[in-house]
Amino acid sequence: MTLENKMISERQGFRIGILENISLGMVVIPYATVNLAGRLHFVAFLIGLILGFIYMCLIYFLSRRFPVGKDNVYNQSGFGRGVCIIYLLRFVLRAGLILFFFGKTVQEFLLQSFNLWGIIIIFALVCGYGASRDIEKRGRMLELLYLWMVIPIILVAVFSISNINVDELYNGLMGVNYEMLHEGASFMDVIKGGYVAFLITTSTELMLFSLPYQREGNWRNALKTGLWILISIFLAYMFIIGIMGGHWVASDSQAALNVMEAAFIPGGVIQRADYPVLAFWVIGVFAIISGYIFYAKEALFTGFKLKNKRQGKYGLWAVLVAVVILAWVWSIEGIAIYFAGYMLWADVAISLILPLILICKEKGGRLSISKGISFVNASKKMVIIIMVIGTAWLVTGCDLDTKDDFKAISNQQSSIEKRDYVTNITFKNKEIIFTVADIKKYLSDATGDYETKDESVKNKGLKDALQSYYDSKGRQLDLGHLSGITFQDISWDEIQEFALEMSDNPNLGKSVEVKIVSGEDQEEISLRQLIKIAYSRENYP
Amino acid sequence: MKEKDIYKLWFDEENRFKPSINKNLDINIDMLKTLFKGAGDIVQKEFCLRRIQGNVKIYVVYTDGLVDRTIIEDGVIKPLLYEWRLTDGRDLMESILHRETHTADIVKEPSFDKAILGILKGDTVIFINGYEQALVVSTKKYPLRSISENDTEGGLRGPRDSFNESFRFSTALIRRRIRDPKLKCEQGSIGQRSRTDYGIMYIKDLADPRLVENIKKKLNTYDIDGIFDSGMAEHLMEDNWYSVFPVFQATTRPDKVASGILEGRVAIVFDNSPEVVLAPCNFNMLLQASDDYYNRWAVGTFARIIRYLAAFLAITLPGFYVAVTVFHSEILPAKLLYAIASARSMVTFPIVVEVLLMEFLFELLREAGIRLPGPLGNTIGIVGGLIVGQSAVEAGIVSTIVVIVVALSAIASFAIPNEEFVSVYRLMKFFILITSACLGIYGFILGLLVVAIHLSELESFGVPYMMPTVAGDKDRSWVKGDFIFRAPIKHMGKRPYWTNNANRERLKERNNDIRK
Repeated sequence: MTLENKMISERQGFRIGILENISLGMVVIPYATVNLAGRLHFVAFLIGLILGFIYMCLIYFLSRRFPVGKDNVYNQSGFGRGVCIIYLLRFVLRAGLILFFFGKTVQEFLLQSFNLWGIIIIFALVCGYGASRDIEKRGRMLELLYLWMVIPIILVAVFSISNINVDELYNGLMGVNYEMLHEGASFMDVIKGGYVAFLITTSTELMLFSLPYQREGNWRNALKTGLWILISIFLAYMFIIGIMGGHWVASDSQAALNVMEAAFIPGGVIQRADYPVLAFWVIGVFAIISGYIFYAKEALFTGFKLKNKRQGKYGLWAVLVAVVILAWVWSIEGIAIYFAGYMLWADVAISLILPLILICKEKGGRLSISKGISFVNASKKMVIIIMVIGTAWLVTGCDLDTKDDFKAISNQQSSIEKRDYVTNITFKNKEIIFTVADIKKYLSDATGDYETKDESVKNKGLKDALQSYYDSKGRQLDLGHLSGITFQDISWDEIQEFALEMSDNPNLGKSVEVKIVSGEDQEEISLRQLIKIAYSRENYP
Repeated sequence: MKEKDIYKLWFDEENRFKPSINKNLDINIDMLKTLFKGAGDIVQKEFCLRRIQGNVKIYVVYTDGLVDRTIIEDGVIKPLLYEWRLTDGRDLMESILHRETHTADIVKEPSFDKAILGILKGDTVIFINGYEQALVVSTKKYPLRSISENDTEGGLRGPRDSFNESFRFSTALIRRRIRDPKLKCEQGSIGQRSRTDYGIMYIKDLADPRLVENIKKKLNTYDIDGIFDSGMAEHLMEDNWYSVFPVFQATTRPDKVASGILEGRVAIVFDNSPEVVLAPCNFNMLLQASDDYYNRWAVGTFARIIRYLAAFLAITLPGFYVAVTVFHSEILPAKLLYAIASARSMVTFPIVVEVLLMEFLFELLREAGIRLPGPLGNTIGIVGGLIVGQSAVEAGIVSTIVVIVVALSAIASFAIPNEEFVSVYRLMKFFILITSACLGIYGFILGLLVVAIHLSELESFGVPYMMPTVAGDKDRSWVKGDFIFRAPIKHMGKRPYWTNNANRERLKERNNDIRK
């Protein structure tokens, strides 16, 4: 009758694998490859994907060698306490890194006025709660949450597919007209991009910890899971490049999240789909961080031979506190550089070397170090050498520069009735004219229509204009329901400047119609398109 | 000896009466008089039976108000005193047991404790001089309400009867629906002082024996003073005491219980409780209604979809409203946002306070409506809903939109067929509301995440609470076609996986030779 057997099913294994691996890859890989490999980003992406696939095969062959249902691969390997402690530290470090960047993303997109550490600590507590049960309950939890994340993503994909520009996608993938993106993408740039993409896919290593708990058929399931992870990342890549274009992606570390804004929900029930979908993306990040905390806790149990429930609770709290502290450490630039260096070479090296040593172990027997070393020497020596040289080179040569993150135009969060809703903005000479909806008469009028009034602000930038308006009227201007932007008789340089400023504003929908009026000529374009052009011009050498 | 000392001497730690029945009736009478001193409802009367061998003293004890006097007088006293005078019964007890009384339900009871328990349950106990046993005649006739129409789990189609507070009526209503000799009813009592009767009902070859054993073990794990409703026993049997979600299905519908028993589940009937509990139970069972199966599959499926949506709305709507209007108004279509903003222009309080006030007002009306007698309760609903609500809007305490949101979430919660589950939804609604008020849509999703984590770890007697969403393997999954989609009955041929493995098939086509 009971299902309690400390095992997970094939379906649970698949869902754990997908949830723990796609959320990060879908978001980070496009930015990393475009940024590093320039116009040859697609080649770099493919290299990363192929390396990721080879790595998954390694995981697959390794997990086949261990009996099902006993323990995770490393605990079965006979490596002992040392490996457990290495894994504990690695997972805590990774969880801290993801937690920090996740906190920043949430703050920038969803909670501009909220304290970053509040966001991080609350999320860490929820992850800790999610990681506090055994593998069987973790399997059930992710089996349940899987649909919560996958269905919104599929809906967004369906509703935003009309925004994909096929020509631009082709040009983007083939690197046509992308010379402007990077000053002649070299072979080394491509390798850099591919390596970083591969680095992100190494999170599939987590399957080594969940596969041995699968009841049956786990070997084929591992490959199926791996393939679906790669396919999901590939599809996300296509969508992001197709909708946003390479230049925008190169300049925006959260390009994947901006894509969600492009989704149009039929019927107009929801004006912007990105916020709800972003909220569901939180579930994917939860799966990763709680996964790292869970496996770190398991490593702690084995490494320090914790047995009873109370020790387990303290162990979990210790891991949780360590993750939050490391998230804080990642925020210190001086230290984060060293950590990034570690992540770029040592961490990847560990995730490669340990499985390689393990794979030479006899099935079910004790680890033969000498045999392992000779195996490494004889057959995989070259791979190791290449990896070590490559990673060492990357530490010195790889430069992952990031653009300054945007600041929200206004952090004030006035109540909705105390805001003025801008329906149109006109940029004219040194003047910005906000057309504001007069909502006071909206309900009493009962015609379903509203009057508007123009408010003129003389200022240089949009952000300053919003601030001036707030200072003078005491009301916050809300750009969330903007329906049109007009640039009247101003230069392309200024238009470009405004467009870039608007791209950083998460409140502003990017599907807004833009009119560019010059004398009697008028051109219409969407804000998204304008931002793409602005980014390509900005990146032009 | 003081009364307090006597109690210490006579009762063990489990409140059982230690002395045994004495051959000397006077000693028994003394003990009974001391024991029931001050208990005016206990009737004790000594009679003298005239037999050929001589006069024999008997002592009859029963509780006034719990017995059927006709049985006592016509079935016991009259025959013993008048019809069987001067007869030659060699063994008086055997003679009374088998010949002299006009009732079939009479047994010998050697335990004094059980004889006293019988008196308190409504049986009549006859002590006979010279015997170390008593005779217990079943004469129960409790003051009861009759079987009435179900007013908490109604439906348009299907039987309308419901359980009442009588243990025996409840078991009878189940037995009436399942005429299978393999339907067992293992009886016992729980509560040291209340000694509440309970019965564990299951079909021998369908219920997993481990499940039955587990339930028996859990019922006997704790000593408690009294159990006055199945709800108290439910809480005692739960593994996760701090969870707000029920892991038993309590129902007043006999058809639901019978259907559950046929699925290999176990029903526990408690005396004095009109709710019978079923185990194991999961989240989806609590959202299913009996008439889902009585109506055609498409209608049943549609009703379920509505109910699942209603359940989601009931828990999330106020929280989502707060998250969207306070933190992420960009989500709303422009005109809707203008309408909300315009409606709020007269309201004094922030949105969060406004929603909390309205929710509090609704909970207040609900609580008052429950406590007040029927017609007055309805009046409270009308007064509260129409007059107070409208006045609150006019006074600028709340806006019209908030009234709509709160009312919609309340109506949605009423679509959930299980009352206990509705209460959980109300609590969860406040939890999501608070997380959303603090962290917007991020808090909203974190709140839901916490609830989901909790739900995925819950189990009811080893069955995951979120079945079949967390079914794991396909072969372990739910009855095919009995989730949100309710398949035509022909496709629901298998019982759930927790049923005894040998008997999972419940629908098959007969081999019709005539047709061939």
